[in-house]
Amino acid sequence: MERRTSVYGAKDENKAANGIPGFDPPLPITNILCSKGTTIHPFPASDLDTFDQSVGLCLEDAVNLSANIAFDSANVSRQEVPSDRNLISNSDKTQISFNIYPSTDQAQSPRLQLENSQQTNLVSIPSGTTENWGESNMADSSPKTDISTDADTDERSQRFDRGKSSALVAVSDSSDRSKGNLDQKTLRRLAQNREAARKSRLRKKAYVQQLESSRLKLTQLEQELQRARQQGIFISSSGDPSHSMSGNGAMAFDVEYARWLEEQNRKINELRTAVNSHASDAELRIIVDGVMAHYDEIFRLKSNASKADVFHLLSGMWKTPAERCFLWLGGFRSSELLKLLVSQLEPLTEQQLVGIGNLQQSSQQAEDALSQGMEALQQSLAETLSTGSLGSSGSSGNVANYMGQMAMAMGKLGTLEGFIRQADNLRQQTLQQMHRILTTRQSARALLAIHDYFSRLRALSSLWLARPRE
Amino acid sequence: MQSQTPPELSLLTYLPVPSFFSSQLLLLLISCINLLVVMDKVRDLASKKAAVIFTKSSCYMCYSIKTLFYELGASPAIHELDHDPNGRDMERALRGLGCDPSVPAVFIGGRFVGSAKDVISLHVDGSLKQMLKDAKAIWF
Repeated sequence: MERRTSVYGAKDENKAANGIPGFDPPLPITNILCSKGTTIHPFPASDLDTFDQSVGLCLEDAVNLSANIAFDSANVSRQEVPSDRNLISNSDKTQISFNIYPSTDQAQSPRLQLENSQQTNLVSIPSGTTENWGESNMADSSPKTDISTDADTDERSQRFDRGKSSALVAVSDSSDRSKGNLDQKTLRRLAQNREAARKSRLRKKAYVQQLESSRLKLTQLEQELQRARQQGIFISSSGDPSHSMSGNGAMAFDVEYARWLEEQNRKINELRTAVNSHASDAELRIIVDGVMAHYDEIFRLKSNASKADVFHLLSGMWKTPAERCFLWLGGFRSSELLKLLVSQLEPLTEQQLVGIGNLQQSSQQAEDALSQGMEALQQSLAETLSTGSLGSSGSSGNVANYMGQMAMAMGKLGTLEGFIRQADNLRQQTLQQMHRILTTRQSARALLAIHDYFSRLRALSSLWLARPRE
Repeated sequence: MQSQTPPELSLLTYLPVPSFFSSQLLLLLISCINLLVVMDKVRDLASKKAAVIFTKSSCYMCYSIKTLFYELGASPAIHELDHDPNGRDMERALRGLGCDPSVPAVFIGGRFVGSAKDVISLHVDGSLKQMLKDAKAIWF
């Protein structure tokens, strides 16, 4: 909230006699005011002329401070302060007033709390006394107009203020002020405040400059992007649905996977509460079946994604780094998972043990078979791309060779989708077979264990990514 | 229509054909007979050994399934369709049996089992091994 007030520097009683109601100039306050600011003037208490100067400077400082505080503490309109200063700098104006925006209770604090820049209450006087004040002061203070050569417009206008205004600081409670009480501690504190204020001003300036420059950079980048898009290069962007579809399979899958993960977390939590609360088998079965169906869902999503962008799945970029470490043909290894589970599923019946053992062996064999097929594919692809590079049959023959090679390689690459599909099929079948072998309660514990394992891997990835680096 | 008529059907060309048969109908007839003949051939091949796999040398999934069978101790008979003169017809016949993709096509004990997906699913739940045992392709 703002109040139209006038700021007076401390005046001695002579000036007070010029028509200003008796304000007891609290010198410590003015000392505080004076020592804050960009220029430091010593304060000989006995010298009234320099007192005026310093007080005027104090005024300027006060306005600076007020400007800072106005900026820092609230979104007060900045325009008013300069305009007020303009008002003040106009020597023809009879009324000198400028806004001071104390952030909290105005004019009630006994002293200018420069220590706390956020809550500084500026000195102010009741507005009733402002009206006729300026005129009488102008005559007195006009010779004091140019004291410093600082080019800052703020300081210029305030210097003018200082010249015109006979400073009279009015504070409502001046009882505990004793004159000339500039002790070391206060001095140090004031100096620190000055420094802090200056630093914050500089920081603000730097920040604004940074914002401006990054805005420019942003517009430049967007233009580049636009240009590159027109040339047909695919660039993935988060907010552009109208663009070409080539990378959308990857992005779409990432989004779907994230959603699936959230849903999975929810379902697993439900399962956990059911297990911990010893729910009945029938209830557990429903929840477990729900989780199994949810796994089917991710395999379905992956199957669609493999048609759109098989390499995205193969790369594992949709998984976290630690999970990627264990990546096999675009997903987890079922045999590894079973190995982890067996220890946690005790007690198992003899038949279950045999079943799980067989399952482990089968999944291991299938994984080996698929891995070997992949290796053969890679080898063949490498051979396809490496033969014929030193063909001697002339340039046209080379081109034909090249085209033929590429066609063959393309065909071979196309079979990758089949491998991903079979790998996912293996994972799905393994999970379902495990569910068949185990009882409902054991399945529940198994599903919880699987989920916990993967969550820990994901947490490990986050920790890894956030680790401090030299 | 295939560019080469299979040797079995070349005899048909010597049959007297009524002139009111259009050429297209004739071709259709020939291809149907062809298919049936080839299917018979496929089945015939498939029952010759306990485990038979129809593959293509360029298919790497076939390679994986072959590897799986070897790991299980079976020694399946491998027929590479791209090295067989009737390869295309056989591929069509296999597709007619419901095998998608047409290779690898697995037969155990003369019975059609399926493609890679079916084989993996059966292997995971233990049925594959049992089928192989039953067909005496493996003994343990």
